[in-house]
Amino acid sequence: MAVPTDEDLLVSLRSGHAESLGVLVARWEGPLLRFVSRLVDRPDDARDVCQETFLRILDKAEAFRDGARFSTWMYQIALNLCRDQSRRKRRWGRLVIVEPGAGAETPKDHAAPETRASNPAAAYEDTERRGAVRRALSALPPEQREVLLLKEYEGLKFREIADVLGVAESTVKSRMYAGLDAMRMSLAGLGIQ
Amino acid sequence: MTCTTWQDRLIERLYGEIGKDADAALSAHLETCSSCRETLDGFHRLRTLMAEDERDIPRVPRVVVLRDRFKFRPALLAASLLGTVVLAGAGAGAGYALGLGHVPAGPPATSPAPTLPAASPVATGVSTEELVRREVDRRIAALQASQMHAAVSKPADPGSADHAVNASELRAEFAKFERRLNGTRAADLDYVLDQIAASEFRVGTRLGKTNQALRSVALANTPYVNEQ
Repeated sequence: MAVPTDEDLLVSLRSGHAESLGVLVARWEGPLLRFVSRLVDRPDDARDVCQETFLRILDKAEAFRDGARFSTWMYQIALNLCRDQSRRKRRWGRLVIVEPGAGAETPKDHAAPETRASNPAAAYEDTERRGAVRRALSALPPEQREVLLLKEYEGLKFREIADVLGVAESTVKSRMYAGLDAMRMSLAGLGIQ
Repeated sequence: MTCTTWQDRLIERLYGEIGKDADAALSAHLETCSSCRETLDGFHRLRTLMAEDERDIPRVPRVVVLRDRFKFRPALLAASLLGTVVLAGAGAGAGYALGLGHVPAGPPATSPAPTLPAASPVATGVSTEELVRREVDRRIAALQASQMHAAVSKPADPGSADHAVNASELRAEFAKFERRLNGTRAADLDYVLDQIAASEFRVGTRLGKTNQALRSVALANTPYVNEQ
């Protein structure tokens, strides 16, 4: 039996088969949470945005255009919710203090365990470098950060990013270039190349 | 400085989305432009650094929490407003009946003007209807007393009979007003209850649909492969 595509599942959801949402959630909750957690400050907020995104999908399934891609639509909804949340935070003047070097979450162990265990200095350096990359990414203007995240971590094509953001493909590329260049300069300033 | 005209091509090459012709043209440019070469190398290194930063994302709970969400319901709002207006009207009507808006002419100077009790019905525990009834009784008694007084002092004046208010007529008027008030109240209450029932039905249907979806979410343990 052929595996239904996301769009098939959405059509099925639209025609009243609510169980299709379960399959969509199972497929997309991981990538979506990963994406959203890079755009909002707190893990709890990221989870809230993910839940709200799926509820919106359930609510607005009728509004999904035939021929459109589900993932583009989903990222669009999530991105708007993230922006709303940032706006709300700004409105309430909430101050988020990020301690230097304090990655809110546990960094993933990329090096081989034995290497890390035998060389704590290298492990520390890795952690520092990852923290610096993360801070450089966070320091970018939102429009550059969104483009970079969608491309680098979500692997969307330029055309798809343009659809998600509602801008021209050339705009996506120029934002991409500006963001990468700013990050490169900022990391070079810290001696990270 | 990087040549600005090649920026898009550099980005396309970086992510492998460059066309064949553009790729050849870029390669030719890179042969002669050290600045663009440097930028491209720098971008490649940056991508490697970013790839190292894969966050350890906690597992998502598989149950979506439902939250009460405000939904604008014009019908319900209209019903509420109507109810408020009717209640306000009823209050005004009761006030009118008590004589706040219309004081019948003719009470002698000795008879004090009727006033509402100082304490509110809620505070005294007495219903509005009871207060109205008491006030009407009090006023009828005052009118009867004034009529008797007039009869004693001017027995020969036939014109005074026109101004006299008949107690039974007043009671009949009050009963009519009360019936009308109760009828309006009952109709409004029916309308509001209908609206509430319809709203509950809609919400119930919506919740049922969502709950069904959530059950599927909770049971969706089979990892599906996305074909895309």
